[in-house]
This record gives sequence, C-alpha cells and structure tokens, in this order.
Amino acid sequence: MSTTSADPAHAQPASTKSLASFGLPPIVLYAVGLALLVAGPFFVYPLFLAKILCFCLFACAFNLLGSVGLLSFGHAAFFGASAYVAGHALKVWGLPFELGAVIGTAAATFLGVVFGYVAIRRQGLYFAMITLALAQMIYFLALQLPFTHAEDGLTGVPRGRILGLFDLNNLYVLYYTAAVIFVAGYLLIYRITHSTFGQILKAIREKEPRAISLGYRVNDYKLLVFVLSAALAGLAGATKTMVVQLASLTDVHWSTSGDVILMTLLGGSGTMFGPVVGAVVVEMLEFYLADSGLPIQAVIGAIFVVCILLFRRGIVGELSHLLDSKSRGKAG
Amino acid sequence: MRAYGIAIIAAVVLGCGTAYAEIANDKVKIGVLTDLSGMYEAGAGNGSVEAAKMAAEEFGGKINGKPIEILAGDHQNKPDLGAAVANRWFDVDKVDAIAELVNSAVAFAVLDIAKQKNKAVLLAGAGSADFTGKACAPDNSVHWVYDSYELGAAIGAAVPQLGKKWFLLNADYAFGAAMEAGVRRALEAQGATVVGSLKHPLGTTDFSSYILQAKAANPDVLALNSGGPDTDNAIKAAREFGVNAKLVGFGVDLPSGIKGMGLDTAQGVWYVTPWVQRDDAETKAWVDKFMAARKVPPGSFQVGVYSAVKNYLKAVQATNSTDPKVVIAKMRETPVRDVFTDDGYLRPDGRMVHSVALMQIKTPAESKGEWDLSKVIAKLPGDKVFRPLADGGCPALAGK
Repeated sequence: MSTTSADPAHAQPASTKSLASFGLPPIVLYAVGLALLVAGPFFVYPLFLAKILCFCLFACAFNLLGSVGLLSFGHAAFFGASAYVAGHALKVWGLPFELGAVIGTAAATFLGVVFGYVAIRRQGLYFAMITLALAQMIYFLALQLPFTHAEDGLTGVPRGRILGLFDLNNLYVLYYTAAVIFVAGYLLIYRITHSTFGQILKAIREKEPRAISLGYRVNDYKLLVFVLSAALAGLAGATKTMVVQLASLTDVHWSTSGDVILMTLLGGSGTMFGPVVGAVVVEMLEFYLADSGLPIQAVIGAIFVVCILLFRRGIVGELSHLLDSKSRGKAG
Repeated sequence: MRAYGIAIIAAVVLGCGTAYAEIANDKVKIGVLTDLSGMYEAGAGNGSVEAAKMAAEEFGGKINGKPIEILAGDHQNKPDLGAAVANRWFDVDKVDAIAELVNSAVAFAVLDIAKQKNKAVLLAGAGSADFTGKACAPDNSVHWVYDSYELGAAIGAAVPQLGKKWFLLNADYAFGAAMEAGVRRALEAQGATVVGSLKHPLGTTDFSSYILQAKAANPDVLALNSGGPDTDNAIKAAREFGVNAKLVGFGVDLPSGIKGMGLDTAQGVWYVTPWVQRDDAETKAWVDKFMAARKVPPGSFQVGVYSAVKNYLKAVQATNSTDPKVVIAKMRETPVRDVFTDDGYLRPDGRMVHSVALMQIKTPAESKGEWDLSKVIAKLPGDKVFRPLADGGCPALAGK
C-alpha cells in the first residue's frame, strides 16, 4: 500500500496488495532488527538511541491511523500532553516512572477520545484540519497553564528506578527500558493491524460505503483506532520525557505533528516497519547534523523532496515492492 | 570519588586549585550550543561560534600546552534536541563547558544536565532571571549578558527622561510576563503610572488593534515587552498609526535588526543594551576582526560569548583545571575587563554584573555611516539594574 490518502476514492484497489506489502517482511529481517536493537547501545550513544525509539513508537502509533485511511495533523497533542503530564507526575508528585507513564498515557487516551469524537465525523482534509485545530488548542493550553512552565519547559524530570530496582540514570538500563516499551508497542500495533479488527479497518479504508453496507459501524471502528493511536503516541511521549528528562513546547508544537508525518512518509506509510526506518533516519539526521554546520531543515527538506520524487512508497515501501515484484516474476 | 571530593574541598579551602585539579583529558573543549538555523541565528548563531573561536585564538589555541577546541551545535530551539546534544558532548566528546544557549528552555535543560554531570555552562543569549534565582547553579553556571529583571529595571531608570504615563504591550509568554513584571516594578519605584497593558500572542503580525488601543489611552511612553520580529512589527504599526508616545523596545539592540527595520521607521526608539561599543583601539580592532569574518557588526550576545569564553579560559589557565567549581571560583575573583565591559564582576550566584546602556536609535540625518545606528543616552551602573543578590532567592546560596 503506497498511500495513507485519507480519501478512500484515491486508495488503491485491494487486489494489488499482498500480505508482504502490508508489512510482513521475512522473519530474517525481524531477527536482524532485534539483534540491532539489542546490540545498538554498544555502538551508538544509548541515550540518543533511546530517544530515537520513542519517536519510532510515536511514528508507528501515527501510522496505525493510516490503516483506516485517516491522516491526523495533530498527533503532537497526544505525544506532548502525555509528555507534560508524565513529567509533572514524575517531578512534582514524585511518582515512579511506571505510574507516570500510565498517567501520561491515560491523559493522551482521554484527549484521543475527545479529539476522535469530534474529528472522525469528517474525512480527508477536513479531518486533518480539525485535528490540527484541536492540537493547536493543546499547544496554547501548554503555553498558558502554569504547570508546563510555558516556554521555559518542564525540565529536570527525575528518571527514578524501573520496577523500583534498576537505576534509570544508567544509560543501558534506560535504553533497554525504552526498547522494551517500543517492542511492546510495536507488537501491539502488529497485533491490531493483523487481527479481524485490522481487516475491517482495511475494508473501511478501501471503501467506506461498502463497509457500512456490510453492517459495520464505521465510526465506532474509526474512533477506537484513533484512541488506540493516541494512547500509543502518549506512551511514546511519556517515555520520551523520562529519557530526555524534559517536556517542552516543541512536543506539542504543530511541527512535531509534521515531523511524524514526515517520518512515516519517508519510511513508507502503510508498512509496519516503514515508520521505524523513517524515524531513525530523521532523528539521526537532526542529531548528527546538529554540529556539522549544515542547515539541517534544508537538508531534511531536500531529502524529503527527493524521496517523494523518486520513491513514493517510502524507503521500506519501495524495498518491499521490489521484493514483491521479484517473487512474482519468479512465480510467473 | 570521596578522595576526589576531599581534594576539591581542600582546593577550595586553600583558595587555589592548582595543586589538586587538572585539565581533564588534556584538552579544553568548549561547545557553543545555539540556534544556527532559526530566528535567533542573527543575534547569536554563527556569530557566537566565531566569537568563541576569537577568544580561543587569543590564547594561541592552547592553555598550558593543552589545546583548546571549540565545537558548534545547532539546538534548533528544540530543548530535547539541545539536551541530547549536550549529553553527547559531555559523555562522548568530553566537552568541559557549553556556551551561549539562546532560548531559555534549551538553557534550563542543558543546565540541569551540567549540574548532574558537573560541567560548566556559560549563558549568554538566555534571558530568564531564574538562572540566578530559583534555578541557580553557582558552581556550574555563569549568566553573562542580561536577564529579564535587568531589562525592566534599566528601562525604569529612564522614566525621568521618558515620561510618567506608560502603556505596556507584552508578548504573551513567560519571558514577556517576566519583563512586564520587571518594568512595572521599576515604574512603581519611579512613581510612574501604567495607564494600560495588553498581551499579544507570540508571533503576531497585525498589531493594528493593539496599537489603536494604546493610542486611545494617550500614554507618554509605549513599551514593547516582546522581542525580535514582534517588536519590529509593533514599531512599524505604531508608526503607521501615528502614535505620538515615545517608543521603548526590547530586543531591538541588534545592529542588523535596526538596519533591517530602517532608520526611517526605527528612529527615536529607546532601548536598553547590555553591550555598547566603546570608543577605544582594543574594541575597534576586535569589532573590525569580527566584521571581517561575519560581514556584520556583532550583537551583544556574540560579544558576551567572547567575553564569557575568554574569562573562562583565563580561569582555566590560572587554575590549570577544568573542574567547574574551581574555575568559576577563580572567575569570581577576577574582575571582567574586556571588549564587553570595563566594570564587570562575577557575583556568587553566577550573575555577571556590569553596566548597561540606555540607547536611542538615530534619525537618518544623525547617522554618519552604514552601521552608525544609535546613540548612548545614559550608562547605567550594573549594581543599579541587576537584581540584588539577596532578592534572587538562589537556593544554593541559602545555606552559605
């Protein structure tokens, strides 16, 4: 599937899709991925990797919404709201990280219900604009509410201990905690998209009127997947707060909503693994270009333009398409 | 660890760290973490990196035989990115001090990390007065250039020249609120009245309704507690609507910014600057050197970075140490005399106190050269404008 186009009329016919293109890369790839995940911190700065994993989860959560053909332009609201709430819980209430993450995720879930209830009544561009408008409300709330400290940000959030045992200030403990959260979130998303529920989502994306005529309450499905996506984005936000020890206006800013769309499109929307690759690429560029003296935004923008022009399915989308057509070629 | 602690205590007690401390990793590394691609680039950005390099050059690139290295990083005004870069610099690249940090949010984040990892932070572009107040870290940070308290107090000192009836137009965010509080405090002390006050969102482009309300209140002075493009836009709107009040702007002290507005629009605007170019050979040579590299005159943050880095390096040289506590203690003993200021000193809470200047932008007729943009109205002594040590409420000093 090459598109998260919110307009069902523009979606490709279902018959062109194999299971592989919806993201079941060979088991080998998963083994390699897992090995990288385990070995990563011994080669790359673990704190940075942990932060990448948070954005990977965020991008995957965003991509979940793509499975029903919705494009949200306000996902930073869930990510950021959870980041702030979790940060406040850890810093001011002195709660352990697990509880902080739960409270943050709960806050994002609540917002997801509210946003979803309002937004899913519209489709396409209107849906995107409503989510953007609601997210901007959250941004201005974050700017004004005292507990967020406005543009100074909520800084110096203590990490505490995971399960009350392991000190999260140890970068390896920190990394593996983030890795476990990411893998759990990823598996949950995988399970959702590959369940009957996921099949119905796909049906709704391909042709909503037909799904309605088959007797599905389309809006209920949309709302549920929207809330799930918001909750997972919230989990990513809460974890990020613990990792980088701060929550700031950047987290709720519309540019973060834009970043996650960029990550998903770059990696390949509609694929399971695409958002992960996209998040890694974007974060790596931002981080390693930071002291390179190059204009970062211009570089990322140029890469994005090249991607859109040359491989519209995104990095992973294009790869799996290649593999697909190869295997079809052999069979034929 | 304990032995190390004892060594430091001993060093401090003896008032001299030379015998115990040393330059870690045989290199003195300073990272300039700033906005290299966004709205603060002109005032800080690459010019600050250049200024830090100029400071290092004055030591011949070496201190006591150990090379000085200046790194540059772009925080893109994203605190989490700034924090990630700072963490990597401290952990992996073994950076000893991070300088500049325009954007308070990034600065707060980096300061927390520096406290945890016992590193030094040299703040130039960050403006919150909390850096020497409730968030103070006297053993890890110095706040070199300006803060929100000082801006308000300095402008208050100009009340006799400006008038008694003030109208305040404030950017609706924490820094705008802090400046408003500072200005109000100063006005009250001077017996001036605030006839009206409005808040506008950050990044407002159409100021007409605000300016018309201000005009209707008929104040002597219209103070713009914002910065950057907001101040520029408000000044332009005030000119268009023919506001008669004297205009006071904050964050308009950057030469290229004034030039961008044009003297026709900007003439007569009052502002406070933490740095004013002195008329001596040393300053002129420095500015010429800066302009040769950057093509524009330096802003106060950039000169501030130069001054902070230079004084930090001097203290490293004197103590032969990169331990922030030792180095900053030495910096406190040494008066600051350079291109940035000729009467500066570092206070125990980390505030570098120095005189600031009240300025007015020249009329096109008064301007004699391309960069001859404003004139000094008054020089205000640092002790009068910076928050008194006792009022800051720095928790780390409470026990001392």
